[in-house]
Amino acid sequence: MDVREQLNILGRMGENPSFAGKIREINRFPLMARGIDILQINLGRRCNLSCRHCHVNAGPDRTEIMERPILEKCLQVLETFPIATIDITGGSPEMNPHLEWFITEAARLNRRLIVRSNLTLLCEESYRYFMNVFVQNKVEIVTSLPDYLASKSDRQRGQGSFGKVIAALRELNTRGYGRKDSGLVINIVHNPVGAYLPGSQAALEHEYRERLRTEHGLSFSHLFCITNLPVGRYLDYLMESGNYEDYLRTLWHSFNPDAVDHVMCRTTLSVGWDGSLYDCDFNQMLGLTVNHGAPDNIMNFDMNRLKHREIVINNHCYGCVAGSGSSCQGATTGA
Amino acid sequence: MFYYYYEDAFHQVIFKSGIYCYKLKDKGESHHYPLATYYDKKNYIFRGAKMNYYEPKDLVDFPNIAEWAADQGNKFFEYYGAATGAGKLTEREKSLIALTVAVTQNCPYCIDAYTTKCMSLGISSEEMMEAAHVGAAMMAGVTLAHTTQMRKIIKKKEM
Repeated sequence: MDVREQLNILGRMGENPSFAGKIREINRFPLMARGIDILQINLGRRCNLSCRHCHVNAGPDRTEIMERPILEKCLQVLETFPIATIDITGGSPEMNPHLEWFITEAARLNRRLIVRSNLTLLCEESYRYFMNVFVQNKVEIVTSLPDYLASKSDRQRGQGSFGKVIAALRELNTRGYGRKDSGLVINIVHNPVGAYLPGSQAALEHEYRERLRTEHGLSFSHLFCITNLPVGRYLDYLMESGNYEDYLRTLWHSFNPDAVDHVMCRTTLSVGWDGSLYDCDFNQMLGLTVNHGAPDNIMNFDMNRLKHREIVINNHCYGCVAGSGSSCQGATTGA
Repeated sequence: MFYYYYEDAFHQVIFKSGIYCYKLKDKGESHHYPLATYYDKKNYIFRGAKMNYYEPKDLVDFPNIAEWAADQGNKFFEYYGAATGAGKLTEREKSLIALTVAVTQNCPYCIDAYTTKCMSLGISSEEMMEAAHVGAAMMAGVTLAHTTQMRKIIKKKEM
């Protein structure tokens, strides 16, 4: 489904109020940024997997890849401003040929450095060296494992993917990742395998920890629960399975006013593969660049105009404020 | 002569015997299909097409059941929260108990709510089905245990 069609569907809310209307009711409109604590850089849409919930619509056939001049500009921005976290995502970041160089340069800045890796590529001989790159640069890894059951996880991410994640996780554990006092952090992302919201992050983390420990002898640092937003391939799934209206209704009825104050877009700036700037990765996939007068490409970066920009919102934003709230760092309120 | 007409915010659907006409409102597109195709591919439009005593969307009315008796209703919600929240038993365990009670008591709202909650908590279909069998076994046991009364009466009254 192309972006225009996605926005068209998201615009049809039936009996439910729009997100803008909803936050206006609680005096949170317009939603304003509070600064830029996280620069999330999407290195491209190429991926070795084609997960059914992927909002990026990433896959092996995608060709969009961030080129070196854009990455150099990202580094220049990071050198100039004290942005605390560098969050590298994709697609599979490993499939961008500049990743190793970029990690090495970014690590010199002594910031929190995150790479969102699906881990399955690390099992392939040509990508194994990234394990060393991650260890040497103390990269914090965030990886997706939608369920601790192989059958369920594979239904979402493709046959055999669970086994590869487990194998890579085992090797990363031996290198210190997820072990106490090693300083090497690996966090797991849980997202529902279907049309429902994630449960308590604390309860799920406990369950994941027990299952992965007893059934696979594995450890990890923390679990992040992320709500699936009705964008990209997940929106396709909702429409095809007849769950769209129910899901939107569930998001709307789970609206949590406290979560509005903690949405990640208020402290995050998202960079697309071509340097375009967005309030979040979801807006990026919907082509909703930053607006309201702020520069929309990193080549024209202007901290003063970006740090207090008005956030571009649409009805998919309900996903980040439902229940315990959701962000790339998991739940945003009491989990 | 229409067999059935259904309309919501997104669709207009007309059913006649054997076929249906399906139209997306904003696009103005109109398609005719055999009803079997409709069942296969568009069954979601059926939801809400017939008025039932039990409507899935009525589940969201649950928070309003304190209406007209707020004092008692609010006390119920306070108790409900305390009883179903994590305590000595985990939220997972309590959700499985709640689901089991829901299926044994045939409450469609509770089955909907607690099946979804169990999925949200990462409880597998196999675990939920095992819990349902506990309920089924208990219902069977309760039924058969009550034959004690029946047998006692028979033995007392029969010559």
